[in-house]
Amino acid sequence: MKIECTIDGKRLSFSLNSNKPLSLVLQENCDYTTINAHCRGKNCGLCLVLLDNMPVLSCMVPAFEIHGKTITTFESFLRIKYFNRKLNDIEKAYEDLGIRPCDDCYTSRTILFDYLTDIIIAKNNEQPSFDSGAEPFNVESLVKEMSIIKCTCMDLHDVRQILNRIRIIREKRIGRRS
Amino acid sequence: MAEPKKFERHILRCGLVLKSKEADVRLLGFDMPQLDNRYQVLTGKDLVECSDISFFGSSMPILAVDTISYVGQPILALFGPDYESVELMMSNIKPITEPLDTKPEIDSPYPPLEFSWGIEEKPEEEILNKLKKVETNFSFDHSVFFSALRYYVTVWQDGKNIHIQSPMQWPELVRSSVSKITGVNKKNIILHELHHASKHDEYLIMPAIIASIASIIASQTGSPVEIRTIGESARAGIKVKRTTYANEEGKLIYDNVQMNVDQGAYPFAFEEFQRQAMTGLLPYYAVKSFKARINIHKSNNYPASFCGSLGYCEALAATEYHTSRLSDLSSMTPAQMRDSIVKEKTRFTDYVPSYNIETHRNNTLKIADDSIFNRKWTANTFQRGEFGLVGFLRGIGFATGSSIAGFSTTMASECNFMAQITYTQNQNITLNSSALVGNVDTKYWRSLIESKFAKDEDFESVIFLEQAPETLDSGPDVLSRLTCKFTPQLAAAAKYLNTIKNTEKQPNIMRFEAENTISPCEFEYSGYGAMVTEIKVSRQDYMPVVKRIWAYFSLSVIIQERDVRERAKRAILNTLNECGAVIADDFELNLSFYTHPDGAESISSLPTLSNALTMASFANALYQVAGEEASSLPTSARKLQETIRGGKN
Repeated sequence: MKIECTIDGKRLSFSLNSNKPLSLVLQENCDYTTINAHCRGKNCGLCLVLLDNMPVLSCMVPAFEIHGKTITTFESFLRIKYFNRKLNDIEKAYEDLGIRPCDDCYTSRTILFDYLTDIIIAKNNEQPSFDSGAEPFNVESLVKEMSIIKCTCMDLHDVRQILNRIRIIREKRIGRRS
Repeated sequence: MAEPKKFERHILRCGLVLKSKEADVRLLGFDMPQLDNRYQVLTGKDLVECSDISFFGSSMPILAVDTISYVGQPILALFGPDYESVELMMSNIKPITEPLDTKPEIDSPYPPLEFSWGIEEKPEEEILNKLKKVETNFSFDHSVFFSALRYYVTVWQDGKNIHIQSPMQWPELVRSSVSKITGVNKKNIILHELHHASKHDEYLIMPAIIASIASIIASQTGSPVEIRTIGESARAGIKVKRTTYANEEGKLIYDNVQMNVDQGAYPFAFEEFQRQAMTGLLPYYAVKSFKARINIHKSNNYPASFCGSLGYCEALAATEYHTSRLSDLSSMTPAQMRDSIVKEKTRFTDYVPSYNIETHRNNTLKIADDSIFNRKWTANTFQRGEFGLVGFLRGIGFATGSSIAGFSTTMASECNFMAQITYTQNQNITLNSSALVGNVDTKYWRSLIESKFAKDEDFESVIFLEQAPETLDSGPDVLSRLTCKFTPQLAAAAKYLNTIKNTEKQPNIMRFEAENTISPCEFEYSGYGAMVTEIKVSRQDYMPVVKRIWAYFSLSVIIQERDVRERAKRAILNTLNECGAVIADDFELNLSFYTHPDGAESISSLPTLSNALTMASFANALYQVAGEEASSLPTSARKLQETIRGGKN
């Protein structure tokens, strides 16, 4: 099957088995070294990427699903300036708190931390409307999203601390710029 | 560390290893499709001259030849132009096997290790019947860990030299294995170590096997060869039966321990395992007579690697589990019982020197106060009696202990792992050691050496020599030995070099042993700790959920508290996971550290201690919830459900 998609800002075209998992497409067809998990769908959480800006486990996404979509992997954080700045915020938070994901889950956790922080900042910036009837924004539900990564190198208490720290650093940076 | 070398796909031979799905069978051959000249196959029968790798006096086949001993044993390697086609071809290859006529011998072919003091003979039944008896069975099943991460071993030739790029915990094992199988001189084997995080020591043995396979095909084809595989390792299974007899006053008289160890199909370093386990079995409570026996068994399980422990953690956990049960004799809580030990020092043995029990007691009191252990333990015990059908599902467990690190004195002197520090004519310090590449402690080692030369004007810098054929073998990166044993040795060597450099002509070369081999005992204590674990078994799914842990460590040296804290935390969380525990969303870990001012320079193996204490305190908490049957590790919801609800149906 011919598949066209954008991976880390590059428009690419592949001829692939339609059911080949995205994790293997990235490892074998794109030679990416930042993803090397292959749990065969056991939800280890170490192959996390953003598919159209939504976090997904790439081993669960068949190739036909990526046709025409945008995939963001950890390579973007290393190569693209916009993401690189975001990575710096996260790195600073790790450094400040002295808590760091292990080498195994570093890339997946970093992508997810970035994604969750963006949501928290966006939600915090929304004007509260009392008559809308919507449920108040709950950070805890977002924190629990992190448990999709099964690595045991950190607990949810660490996750809360890191998310909070990244949020502060990022808000400061955005505030300075504006 | 240099960037990993990458080859163009069209020149690279891609390989996969076929692993057996059955054990204890005879391998007759393979049913495989017709393969064209783009593919190469390697089986055990192709390895004519040398077909095994060996270390610590044991050997293991690279590829199974006649008999398949365990599930997961490599039996064939297939190479082709790309992984996709190799994977496809591999799916069509089926091993032809038949059951073995006679089952392999299960009885231990290894001599047991025994140690005792006090009354050697077993007392008569009549005498024993008059005494109070406490018997415990602690077990940790043999477990295999499969990493979800793939790694690649790349081998290529460059003239006479063979280059190997792989994650590896013991470079010398890879070099010697490849040299043995290819016949290439060790000096012509160049290693490129890839960065790795080995949670279960998965890069200790397997990279040597994979590199050996790849190097054969690389030398046959002349093309670079890459094998893709996943990290695998296994923890030895243990069963400890411990019986203690006490008189009517509660004074402990006899302590009898029997430990059976399942090290899998190819036991490595079994004598060292016995020594480490024996050290963990020694009680710190006073007992008139002690007798322990450790048996190593061979089985058809995956060969056990080190997994951060070589018996000490499991043995210490068993001792701590038993110590908590002893408290029932005196109607005290486990913490009060530990606090009531009146003797001043532990017994001096050939395995460990004695230590002042005061530190132990202080740790006990501190952690019991912080966690309000006594109140919680008593409340849980009372509540357990109150609840009828399902029972009270909260438990709290206590454990204390001390840490050892690295290999025993006997093993260290047999292995002779070395390193070399040189003060050159250019006023540089160079360090030649295989322990350097990718090791996180190099930053500390640099500052340690610099601190010894800091006041000198004629000192330029510290240079760590890169991995080369001349690199000295400093042994495997296991059991925290590169932090805990290597560091004080390095400090002593640097100090000595500083004193001789002004009186002797440069270069001043100092070769030193990577481990301490002059200890009067097999091990030295290097840090103490205490831990309390609070759990709640979920009423819905019977999962043991860990709510809170209090841990207190008293160490002689704390290099960087942040790193130490992080290491301890990871070891605790990892062990909980291995034990089958679930971490609560509101889990709290209260870690505190204290530097005890005894002036000792020994550096503690925090992962070892954390591992043992977590295992023991979790088992004790499980015991409080559901009794002994449930406390065999790793636990599971099913096991707990069966125990709590009573009856297997």
